[in-house]
Amino acid sequence: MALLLVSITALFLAQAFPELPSEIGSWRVVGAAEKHAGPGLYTYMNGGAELYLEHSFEELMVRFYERGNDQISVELYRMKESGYGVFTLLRSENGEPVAMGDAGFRSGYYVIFSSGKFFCAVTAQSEFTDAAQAAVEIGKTVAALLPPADSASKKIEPLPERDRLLNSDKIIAGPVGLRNVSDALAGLFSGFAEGAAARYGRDKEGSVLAGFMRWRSAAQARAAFKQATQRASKEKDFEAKAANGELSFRDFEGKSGLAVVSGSQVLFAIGPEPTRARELITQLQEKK
Amino acid sequence: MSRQITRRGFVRASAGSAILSAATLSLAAADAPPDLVACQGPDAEQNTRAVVEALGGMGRYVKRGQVVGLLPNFQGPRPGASTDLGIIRAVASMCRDAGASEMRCLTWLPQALWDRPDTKNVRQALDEGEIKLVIVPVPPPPAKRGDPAPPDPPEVAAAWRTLEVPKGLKLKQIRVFNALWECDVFISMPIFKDHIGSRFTGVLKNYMGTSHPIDNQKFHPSFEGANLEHMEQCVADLNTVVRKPDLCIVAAMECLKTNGPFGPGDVVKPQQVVAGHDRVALDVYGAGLLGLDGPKVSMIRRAYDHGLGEIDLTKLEVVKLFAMKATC
Repeated sequence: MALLLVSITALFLAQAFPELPSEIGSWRVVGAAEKHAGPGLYTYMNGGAELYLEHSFEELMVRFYERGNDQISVELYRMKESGYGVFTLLRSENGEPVAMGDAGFRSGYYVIFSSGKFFCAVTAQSEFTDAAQAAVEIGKTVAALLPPADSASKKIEPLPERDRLLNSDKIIAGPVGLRNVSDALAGLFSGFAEGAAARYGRDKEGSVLAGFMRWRSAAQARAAFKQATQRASKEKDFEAKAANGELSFRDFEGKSGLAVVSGSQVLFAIGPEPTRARELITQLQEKK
Repeated sequence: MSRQITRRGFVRASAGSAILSAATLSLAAADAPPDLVACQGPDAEQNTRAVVEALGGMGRYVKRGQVVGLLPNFQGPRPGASTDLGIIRAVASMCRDAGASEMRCLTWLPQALWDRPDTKNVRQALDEGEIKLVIVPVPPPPAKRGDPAPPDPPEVAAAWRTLEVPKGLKLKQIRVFNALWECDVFISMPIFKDHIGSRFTGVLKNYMGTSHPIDNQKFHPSFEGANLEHMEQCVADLNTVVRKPDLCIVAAMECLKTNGPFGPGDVVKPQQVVAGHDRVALDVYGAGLLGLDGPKVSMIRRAYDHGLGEIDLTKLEVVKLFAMKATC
């Protein structure tokens, strides 16, 4: 018991990777543990590494489990602060929550979850019959080995709670994340330090996307806003209008967008109804 | 058309129009090859054979004794992330039948990746197809993100050539592996799928599999402080100087629709293989399969602006084939 406590304490302090079991149910680990640190992620992931690097990725450990011809990968990413940011961006709109780590989600052949500094993806390498069930089983085993923590980030606290759609919050740490949230915003704004967004309404159809981006200073936010206004005015598809620190535009789906510079932040709302978008901007200002 | 294919039914129709006939139909040999061919059906290998036959057969591209370079996109076996192995098998078989002396799978992905448990099926498919895996050496990544990379060791540098990019709007110079020019025929074999940075990846972006990974890192916005259009312009610029593909055969059997290019993410299943020569047109078609408006995808539009291909599919002959199980 003492040894177990010492092990858990050591893991908690160092945030090292846990030793994954050699067998989970009928699944048996194959190959050696593979690790990639920092920019080494590019050699593991041939594309898409930027999203993880935006969220201060530190190190990845990969293990494979096999059962006959079926295979499941376990990718355990350790971030500098929290695994929740990547989790929010990779969470599928077609999936469903699952009790795993601090926040878990499953969709088809895979499961993802965050737990403290860790983000984990458990992926069946083909869509075999019990792929989802097996991914959940292995995911729960891995999650139980990680130190308990609350990775659901404080970064979403500035987002209004009323009418917020469940599991719609996304943490934005850079341009790749912003594009995951909105193509139009990604085409307009750059250079921010952090941000978050969520959807508001009764369901996704007809909902309003609202959130904020924060720069390191009010001067930087104003400069970025000015640059966005110039970019928007060059593209006629945006139908941009700017006045008094407000930029109204249309996104690529024809929805009405409103962005307002406020101190070191730009608050934004995009939806089918301009009135509702403005209401959410007001709520964001009140939360701020 | 091979016997194997004529045992199945194929229906030829203009893209987007209704099926013209449900009967077994041979493609008229006298027809000039179309610009772009897609074949939809449950079997990637059959679809591949059908599209290549519709373009005039592999013999149009590969002559006896030639070396064929293949550039698939491998991201592991997870659904929707990699070029289907059925396509690899079909292409290898057709190249061999056409008289190819050697087939090479070109990659700079390190040996360690090819040794991983999840790539054993890929290795097996390459072995069965008698495709030689040509791993171009790359230096280890810098210790810290954004750190300047040290000069390549001589044995690494010798495998790469530096190209000036005179038409490049963002990219002025790029290293591309020599192996791309060391084959007689070059067949690009990507997969259409989502890309979390550029929204879409297909034929144009597949060329990042030939350019130096350290240079590729500079495509990404975080190093530039610019927006994502930097990468999209870099991809378009890269395509102005690399060797043109002799043929593109693109996987669209199942494609990541979210969280690409690596996944895991939501998958759509168009069950198609698409072939042609026009990189822009192919990507416009592929973007459509993912629910995107191809001409509005920034990377595709920028490649079109460079004059790399046609963005308006109505100006091309696009043929769609449907592969069905024979009923008799």
